[in-house]
Amino acid sequence: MSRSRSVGGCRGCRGRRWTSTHSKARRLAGRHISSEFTRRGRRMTFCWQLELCPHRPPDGSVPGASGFPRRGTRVSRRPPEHEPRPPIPTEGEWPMSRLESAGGAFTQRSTSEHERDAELYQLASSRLGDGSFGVLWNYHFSAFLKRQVIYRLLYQEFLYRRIIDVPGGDPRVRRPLGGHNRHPHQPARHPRALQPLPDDPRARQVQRISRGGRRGRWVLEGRRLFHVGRVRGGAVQDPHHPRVVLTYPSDQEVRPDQRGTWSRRCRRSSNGTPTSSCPWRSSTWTSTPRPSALSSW
Amino acid sequence: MAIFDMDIYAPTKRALELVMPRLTKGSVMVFDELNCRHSPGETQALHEVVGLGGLRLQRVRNQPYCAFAEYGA
Repeated sequence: MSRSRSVGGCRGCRGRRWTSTHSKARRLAGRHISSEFTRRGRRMTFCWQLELCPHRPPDGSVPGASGFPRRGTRVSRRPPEHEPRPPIPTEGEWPMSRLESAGGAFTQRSTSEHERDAELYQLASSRLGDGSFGVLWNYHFSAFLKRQVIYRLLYQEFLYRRIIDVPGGDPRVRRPLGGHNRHPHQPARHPRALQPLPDDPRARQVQRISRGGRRGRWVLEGRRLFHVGRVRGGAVQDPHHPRVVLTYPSDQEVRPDQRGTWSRRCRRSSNGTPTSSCPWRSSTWTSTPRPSALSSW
Repeated sequence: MAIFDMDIYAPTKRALELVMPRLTKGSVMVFDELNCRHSPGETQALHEVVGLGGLRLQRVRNQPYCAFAEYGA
């Protein structure tokens, strides 16, 4: 191939002319130079692979005009030798020494994560000031600012998915730092309250009931002190079942955990006689209290 | 499922003593700071009440200090 028939010169160094150095390199190691035929003639390619090419790109650069490595081309991804690698952290130096908050408490966020959170907070605050995202977005998006919030949601979703079909209690003994994502997995309203065992002494503890007043009375059950209010007669809507309307007799004592239970079974008038609308008129009025949950923990 | 996230020894041990009689086979015990050098009390309480040898502890990614185990599995 003559030099006049080559088009474009060295493809590895586009825009450069075919120099005598290239010709010398081709003579010395012609098998390393591939070629292709074009309309205008034969084109020399990949001469940059030769050590003798004066326009040989540096190590690690990607050949070709498209920016992608060619098929069969090895691209070194190792860092250059002159760049020293960061030292391997030892136990107690990094990252544990940086996982300290300003107050000295333990945190799982590194210093760089704190900085990024602060930067993200600034960006979010500027957007919130504009109000361009709308009310709902401004209210809900802040939960996903933190990386660990997302991970915790995924983790708890993974855990609660394991117990959807398992009956039983769900005690969460922890600091009161917020809610959890259990409810989306329990559309059938599985009861997750801990009930006392039959031999649990707390289930048989004597109630010391104070003298009731007009607005209710205080009941001490075990270590749990709660208020038993008096519900005036009327109809209220059950918050858990919107279609159920609960009807309370007038001046009926209703404990917090029994609210809505009796009146759903029997509707009575204020003087104690069953009304005509009561579907269980013949049944007796039983006020068996349900065992309270072990909320005294 | 019982989630323990108190980080320290005494309340974790007390909660474990209360919860243990109620666990069934397959119950999930979740510990938020297990094998954490900053909160060794939770691991110590679990070791004293349940025993680490009888649990198959598992861990998920992105939660380095959390662990859970199925009771009786």
